[in-house]
Amino acid sequence: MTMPLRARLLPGLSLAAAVALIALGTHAEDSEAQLLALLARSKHGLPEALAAVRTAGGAPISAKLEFGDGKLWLSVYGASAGLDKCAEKNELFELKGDATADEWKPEREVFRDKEHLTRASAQLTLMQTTQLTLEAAISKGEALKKGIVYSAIPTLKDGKTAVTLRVRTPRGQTLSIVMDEKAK
Amino acid sequence: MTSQLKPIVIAGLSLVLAACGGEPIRNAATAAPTASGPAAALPSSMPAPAEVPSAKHEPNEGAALLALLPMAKLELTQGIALAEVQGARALSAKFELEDGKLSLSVYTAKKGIELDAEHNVLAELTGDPTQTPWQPKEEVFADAKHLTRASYHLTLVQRSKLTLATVIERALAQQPGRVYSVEPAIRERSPIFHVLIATSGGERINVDVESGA
Repeated sequence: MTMPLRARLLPGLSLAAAVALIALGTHAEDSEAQLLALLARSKHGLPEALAAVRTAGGAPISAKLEFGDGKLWLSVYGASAGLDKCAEKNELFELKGDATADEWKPEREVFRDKEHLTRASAQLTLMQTTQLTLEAAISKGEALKKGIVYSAIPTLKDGKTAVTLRVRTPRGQTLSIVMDEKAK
Repeated sequence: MTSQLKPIVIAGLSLVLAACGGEPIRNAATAAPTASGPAAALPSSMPAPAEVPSAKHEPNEGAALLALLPMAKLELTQGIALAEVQGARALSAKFELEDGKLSLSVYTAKKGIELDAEHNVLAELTGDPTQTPWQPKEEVFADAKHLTRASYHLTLVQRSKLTLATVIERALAQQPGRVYSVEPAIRERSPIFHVLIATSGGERINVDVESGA
């Protein structure tokens, strides 16, 4: 005997709603867990994304692999006019594409909304006030922890610019490193 | 330059990297630590500003602004203090001309400087400083130009160990006069503050104060 579709779905929907509510509180953790689960499937790394921005004449200001919409994405924020122009006179954008595809084919989005404009403006300003490049930070981080850096975001550390790195080691550990320009 | 004065640099010798709100006299006013001539008379061979200031929140009105400045009934520090209420922190402040009238503008981070720009509320208080009490209107920024500028200011203030009031105090110790603008900026990859001072002789002097970062 089969139940009508609606009757079968309702309990499931209620359960789904409850799960969704619970999930709201742990969304970030879940995203991180899903990201880490998919990380090995990435065919592209942060250096490729940074290079894409530089090839176009811009300056990368942050980069990461991230989970969203069931997919693994490689994302990089950039400033079109490089580091010599402040945010107001620059163009702040994101390149984002499927990290599991054979070829990384990012879409380009120029930021217009508050969330992304303020975030990218702050990141650009931080990168303008350090000698450290994202490439150097990633390179140092990978050498130091013998792993793969999957996130490199500029941040403030004791009033100085630093880059927070997330590193996945071959043993499956996830580490955070805050790298400043004095880091060896 | 003595060690006491080390944090304060008369601005002339510096090109400001990534300046966002500089003003036309900043290069001109930098001729030397002893420079005191009117900005307009300074050598034309000085390098041009890296960027053209935007129309708003930049004291580019020069002589006209200075002519009206004595009408202000409050100092910049008072405007800053009035803006720093209920946890807000001032990020920059200046007297400027709005439609030919003197105005006092203060950019603020309404949730203080512990929160980053993305999670803050960035706003501007503007009002007529020739009236007492100063009764500014508040505009919470929603447009790209002001959001990016205020975010830039906030990030640089977060990188500094100084409040705007302290910055002004240090600048005045170096160059007496009336401060009419203070803004965070970047010089050689370091955060600084541009402080513009009107002297009693009618000159405009730009003093850079290192941020202490």
